[in-house]
Amino acid sequence: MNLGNGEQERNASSRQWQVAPDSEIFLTHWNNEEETVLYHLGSGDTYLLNDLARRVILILQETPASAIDICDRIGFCLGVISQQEKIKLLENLLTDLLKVDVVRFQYR
Amino acid sequence: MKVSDLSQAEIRSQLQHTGISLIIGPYILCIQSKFNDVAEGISLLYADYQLQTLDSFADFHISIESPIGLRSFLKPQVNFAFDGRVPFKPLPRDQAVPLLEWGTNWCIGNFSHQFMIIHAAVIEKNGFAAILPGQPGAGKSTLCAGLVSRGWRLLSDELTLISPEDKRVVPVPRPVSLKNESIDVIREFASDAVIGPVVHDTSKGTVAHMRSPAESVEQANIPAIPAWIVFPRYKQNAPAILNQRAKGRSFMELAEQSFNYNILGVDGFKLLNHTIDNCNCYNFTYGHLSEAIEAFDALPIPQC
Repeated sequence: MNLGNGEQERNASSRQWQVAPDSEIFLTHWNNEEETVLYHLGSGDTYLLNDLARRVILILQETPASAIDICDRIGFCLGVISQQEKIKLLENLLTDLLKVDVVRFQYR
Repeated sequence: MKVSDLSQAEIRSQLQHTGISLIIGPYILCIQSKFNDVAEGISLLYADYQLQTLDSFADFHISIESPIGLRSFLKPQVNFAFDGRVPFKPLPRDQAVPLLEWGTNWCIGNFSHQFMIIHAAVIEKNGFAAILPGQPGAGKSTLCAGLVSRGWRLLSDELTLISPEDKRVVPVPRPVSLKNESIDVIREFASDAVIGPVVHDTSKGTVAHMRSPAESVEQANIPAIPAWIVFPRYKQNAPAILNQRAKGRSFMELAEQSFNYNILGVDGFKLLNHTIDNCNCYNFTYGHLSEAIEAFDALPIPQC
């Protein structure tokens, strides 16, 4: 589903993402945290995370956050692109993590 | 008492009646068969294995038998049965010995969840184990056969068993499965290797099994500390090159190659994590066994 820019921004600010509260996750890191593997207790699935996904999950383990909040903290990792593009990338990543039930969101 | 203490006639008789019970690492395998080539295969390939007394427990009851029906007269075939069940389609009659080996792998891989089981060869030197995962055709069995003929101890050619209790590799040394060109490569490289009958036109091509070195069988109760995970790839005439491999990708590959990672759940994750943490991981390309062995002999022991 393609959302218009206005709706995307509303979602980005109103969706509060968090690590799925009823399913424990385990993270393991190597090579100065450049390599991260996530184990999802609920599904029994294992994922190799890229650096962005790792940073996002670490933030959400601390506290629920919107894509905009996350972008404010780690947007620098996404290179020289516009804020809007960064938020879109983060929303896409969060949606992927939502599909595998690693994260969930609530509307603020 | 060892298999080699029995005559061919005694092996044949036991196989036909009560079954012959072999102690293979942590397992007792009771085998029954009326086929002479199975008796010959056991006599040749399992000569150094201890026998269990016949009336005792066995982990796996296996029989290699003819299927029932007219077809068995038209085109002789052979079945593998485990606890009376026949899990596979029959194979041509001359594949009885390979079928025994493949079926035994299947039994261990599917019914042995006290260990994490990874589809990988594993060898040991000085108490440290090198785990060799790899896709079929990557050259792991050839490399494994070459290494065990030059002083490394065979823990397994196919199935790496890691104990959740002490995190060590539990040996289950059995004949090494050689395929196609690797049969002649090993004959030439290790002239004293005992290699069983060559069977053509199997699903894996031409296969033959190499007897596990006697010392490996004798030391089958001594576990080893996982120290290296080496993903081998044979490339004709290529120099032996060992490159560090990312641990995250190695973790995912081992999980993929494990028979029971998912069954073990979070304990499997923790065990694999511990194993990867304590091992150096490499990609390894080789084209000559002698160079490959030099590279393995020089593997640095990880600082745990």
